Amino acid sequence: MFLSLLTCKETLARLDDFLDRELSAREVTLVQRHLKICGHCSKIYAFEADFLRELKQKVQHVETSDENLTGLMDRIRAALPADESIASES
Amino acid sequence: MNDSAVAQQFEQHLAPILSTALRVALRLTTNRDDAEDLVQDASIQAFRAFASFTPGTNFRAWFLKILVNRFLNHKRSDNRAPQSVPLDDITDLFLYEHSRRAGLLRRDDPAALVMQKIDGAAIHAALNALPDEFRAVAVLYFLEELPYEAIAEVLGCPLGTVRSRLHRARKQLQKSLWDLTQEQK
Repeated sequence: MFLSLLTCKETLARLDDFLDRELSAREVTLVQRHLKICGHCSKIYAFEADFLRELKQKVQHVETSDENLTGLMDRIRAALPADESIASES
Repeated sequence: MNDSAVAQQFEQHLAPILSTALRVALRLTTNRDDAEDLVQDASIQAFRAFASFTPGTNFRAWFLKILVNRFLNHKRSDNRAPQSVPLDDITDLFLYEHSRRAGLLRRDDPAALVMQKIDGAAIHAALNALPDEFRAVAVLYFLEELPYEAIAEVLGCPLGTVRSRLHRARKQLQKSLWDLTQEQK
């Protein structure tokens, strides 16, 4: 199959999806080919990939202690409706 | 099956994913009390709908759908006017361009250099500055690392909507985080 080269604009328009692994295999190849030969876009790609990794790490840093979770489960257990008929498959 | 057995079965499903649910709620809301209230409300709603859950399928995804939609419905009823999304003035590659102009690209690992100035409170503030529906997409993506299709399933919206909201959320997060680093100077 013939794969043409992408322009910088076309590559950058696909960058988020490329970083998120949401492109088709064909488009991944196209973007990778461009990044291999374009210093400008590969620099942007490296920056965006590092930023994304750092941002995910920071967003994922959320503290939930066991004590918190036990307290919350107790609260939920106490709040579950006991007098309602809950249809369920037996 | 009696009510007590159903409750016990529900709890067996909920307990292993409670930490995930609370983490998502903490990122969606502004404080721990609201987050715990959200998880509790979602749990009650999930319990009432537990009969519609198919055993053997993904309880975590099923519960997150209830939790996120509970959050969005509650916020919609609170908001008198729809939230505006003033993102048109934020260019693509906002952070890269500003880092380049600030001379940071000459250093090793410039993205890490920007992010090391960002603490947990700043991340929380930046996420909270996003409109609710954008924040929901961003939390499911950045925190839970769900693929676009799974996010679309949770939110009940088309894939294209997820892609567009996430793209715009990224732009706004980049701008908010850059602004926060500049305020610290």
